[in-house]
Amino acid sequence: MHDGAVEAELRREVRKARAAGPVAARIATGADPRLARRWRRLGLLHAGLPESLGGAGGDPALAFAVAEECARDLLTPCSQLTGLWAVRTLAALAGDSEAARAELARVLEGDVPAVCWPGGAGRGPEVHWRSGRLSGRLSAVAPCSTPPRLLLVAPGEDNGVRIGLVELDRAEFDQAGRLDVTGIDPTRPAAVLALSEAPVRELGDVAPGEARRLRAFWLLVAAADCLGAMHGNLELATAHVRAREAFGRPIGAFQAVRHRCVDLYVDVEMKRAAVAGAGAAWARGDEDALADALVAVSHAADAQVRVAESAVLLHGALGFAYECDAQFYLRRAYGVQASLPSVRDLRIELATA
Amino acid sequence: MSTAEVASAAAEWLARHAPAHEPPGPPPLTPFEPMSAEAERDLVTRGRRWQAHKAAHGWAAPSLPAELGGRDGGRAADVAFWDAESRHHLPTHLFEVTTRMVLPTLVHWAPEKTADITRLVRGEDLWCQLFSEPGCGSDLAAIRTRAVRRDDGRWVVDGQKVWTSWAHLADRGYLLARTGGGHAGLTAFAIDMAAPGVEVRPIVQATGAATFNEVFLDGVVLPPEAVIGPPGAGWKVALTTLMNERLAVGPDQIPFAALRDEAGARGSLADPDIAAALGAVRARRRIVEQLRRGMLRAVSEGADPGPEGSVAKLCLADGVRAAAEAARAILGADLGTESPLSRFALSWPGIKNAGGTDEIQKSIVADRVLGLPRERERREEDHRARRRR
Repeated sequence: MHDGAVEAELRREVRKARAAGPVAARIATGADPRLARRWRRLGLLHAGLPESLGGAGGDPALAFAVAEECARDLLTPCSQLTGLWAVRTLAALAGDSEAARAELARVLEGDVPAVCWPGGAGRGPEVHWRSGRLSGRLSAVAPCSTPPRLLLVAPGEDNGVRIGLVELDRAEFDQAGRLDVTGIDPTRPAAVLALSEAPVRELGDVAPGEARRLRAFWLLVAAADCLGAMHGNLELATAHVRAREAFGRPIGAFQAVRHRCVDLYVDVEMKRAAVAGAGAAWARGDEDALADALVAVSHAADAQVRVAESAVLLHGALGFAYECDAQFYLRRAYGVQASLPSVRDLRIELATA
Repeated sequence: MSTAEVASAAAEWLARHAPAHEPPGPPPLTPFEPMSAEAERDLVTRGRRWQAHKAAHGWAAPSLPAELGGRDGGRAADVAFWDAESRHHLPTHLFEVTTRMVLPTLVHWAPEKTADITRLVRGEDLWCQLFSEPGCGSDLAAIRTRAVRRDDGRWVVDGQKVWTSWAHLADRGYLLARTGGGHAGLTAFAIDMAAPGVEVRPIVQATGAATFNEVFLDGVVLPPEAVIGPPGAGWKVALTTLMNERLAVGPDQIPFAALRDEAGARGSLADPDIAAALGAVRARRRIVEQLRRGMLRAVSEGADPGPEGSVAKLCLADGVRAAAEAARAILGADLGTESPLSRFALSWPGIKNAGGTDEIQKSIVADRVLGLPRERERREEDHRARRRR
């Protein structure tokens, strides 16, 4: 089922769509609407989605290649990431729900909601969702739309999940305690919302088996996203140690520096193997795909921080300067780690799964 | 036959033939589990019998050509078979150096030695690998054991080897010796471990086992045909072996299931610290499997086992250390009492060192994968500077 040529073409398209220049400069110039349009035209959210649902077909695991490739450049619009989650979540309902099909079409058009799955694929306490009203403190990865449209996955009956859409109007949005919309990582907006009795439109329920599969997908997209950023970070760090000279030679010739670089490389390759293996298992529909996804994401959250911290140190004092891309990778790593379920919880689940 | 076909045919064959060859008792948690001399001899006998049985059915080495008892399957077929084999408890452990390292080296560098290869494949010869010396382990090219060619074409070997696994049980030895200066002055040989002048002394390990040895070579006379590969090609011959050693890196040395069973039996899975440690061990084991699968894909597409193997080795060695840490946590105060798990907790440094230390693996990756500037240039510069002074 896997088509290497399709995947390579997708990756090439993503690379071509990237803007050049250091991260700090690109943040300062702000989001260019032409860039956003260019990304939308790539149709990355369609990759691997069945044609019957409006997708482009192909290996379902292409979604992980998209998540990975987009993350290498910290400035790929985060609608690419949240779009992947939203599309698969809505696709899980599309058979039974007209509303979900309509919402899916809207997302594929490029109008992407913020997404969150507290306790399943994200951190946070459970939310209270009763009689069409939602209360609780939610953290979500969010494209920069305000007031937000929020796609929510919450525990349902018998280990299934239910899916709802929160659409706040301006007045409701102003009323909600909006705590933050940028957070530690300026390249990826994150919304933290304190909601009280906000209206939720229920889109449908997902049965336990399909819910496990959906959760494996969410976790794997997160792991692939970590992999991409880790790879970009490794390239940044190794380019620096080749170019930077001290004591009359490139610092990359010193064993301490070389071995630190190899530690990064080993983390990246471990991550790559874990994501590839789990992605293939998910695409095949394997029973234990969720365990493989837990393997990938539990390693990812820690490894990305390890790599980012080390890469900052490899840059010396420059790594602590705002203008250096290395510190943006560190922000990304901390932000992602804080948004995922804790590594400890993931490992406990894996040990007893 | 594709690798997947080999794997499923192997699984099917093993399901029928493995049970009759299972040794008594549970599988050891570590290769460094102490054994009585009698149990060790028994394991050699069982290993020979299993090897012969595989050979009789064409499963001793699927990569070999059919006339040598194989299936023309390529290296990936070998590894696919090992993986299938590792799902059973079989007496293969003592024969791993023989079948996974010596055999591919002989096939590559000395295919004319069909009698040696056939004896090895049928389990008639157990081999050991005589590389490390008291003065050099990681710096393999610095070995000092000498082989001198006499006028009659025979070689005389003098020197000392160390950390030689199973030398006390082996019939044959695969020896790396110095026949001249530098990397081009190394030559590989096959020796009889029973030859006059070969003396083996055991080395007791931290776990109490004595799987490896010192080997003293005192005027050992070798026939001209003992050379493996051309004289002076020993460095390249050794690299073939080391690359194949990395292909043999398997996840079995991270015994997740055994650790989880032990924790379950003790009721300690409810301890979140222990459960989290076990989860990390499971993840590590799975990632070693997946790294290995990537390596196999490359090998089945015709590539030689490359430096990616170093990544798998680094990942494995650290995984074994993490598993040992989990074992300590599971045992708690019972760590003080001698048990397979307490010995396992002590065994990890053996895995870290066997097949190349972390530092050596990292230098290989830095040079050959990341292409970072080489440390060697610096050493040479310093050397030149000293001479100028």
